[in-house]
Amino acid sequence: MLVNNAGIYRPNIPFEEMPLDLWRQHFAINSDGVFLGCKHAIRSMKARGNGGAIVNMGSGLSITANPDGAAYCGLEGRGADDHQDRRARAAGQYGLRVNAVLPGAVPTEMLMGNKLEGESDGDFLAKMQAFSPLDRLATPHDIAAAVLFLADPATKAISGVFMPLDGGNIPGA
Amino acid sequence: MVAAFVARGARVVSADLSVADESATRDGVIARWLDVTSEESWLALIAFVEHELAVLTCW
Repeated sequence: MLVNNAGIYRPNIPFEEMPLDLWRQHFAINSDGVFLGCKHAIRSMKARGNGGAIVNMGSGLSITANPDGAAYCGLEGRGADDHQDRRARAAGQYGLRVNAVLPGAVPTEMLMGNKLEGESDGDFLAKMQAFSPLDRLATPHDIAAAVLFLADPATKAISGVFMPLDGGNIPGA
Repeated sequence: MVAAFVARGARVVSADLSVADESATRDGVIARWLDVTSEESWLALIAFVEHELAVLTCW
């Protein structure tokens, strides 16, 4: 089992102000990193012949657009997640599964980096929570539960899916 | 560099994700440094985890 969870996000940078080195850093870590992890995990799992599961951490921003998160949205939407079906197809022939979790707003240090200048933590989190029909933010434990679900051999028929975890913010996505 | 957490055994474990030292081991979890952008780094990690159960990368 491999969980490609590592990633970075530098928010609140307008698209037209995005420095090229920062753009490239996002792609190196969030896209190249996931590619290399999948590549070497698939090679290893294939050699073992016992099956396996890969869960990649995407983002709700994979399927929505934030103009002030251009590098992150760009790679999550086109660099990482859109390759998900190809990874799943490539791995499937060896009995391996590849799925992705797409967290929405989760109260972490990364999310709090999205606060606007002068905005309080409470106001910011309330604003994020208001997007959810369930009136709740996902927690890190919610994300972990979804990862375990997708990695569980009991879900052996599931591969190539994106699972949004955002309190119903993007239903049916 | 990010932390890669390698889980031994089938139990669900908890780990202090702020700890990423190659010698750190707790609850069956081993933390190692990993440059996710480096092919060599991934090869070294995969070789290390050959007989382990799971790998979680964490920024």
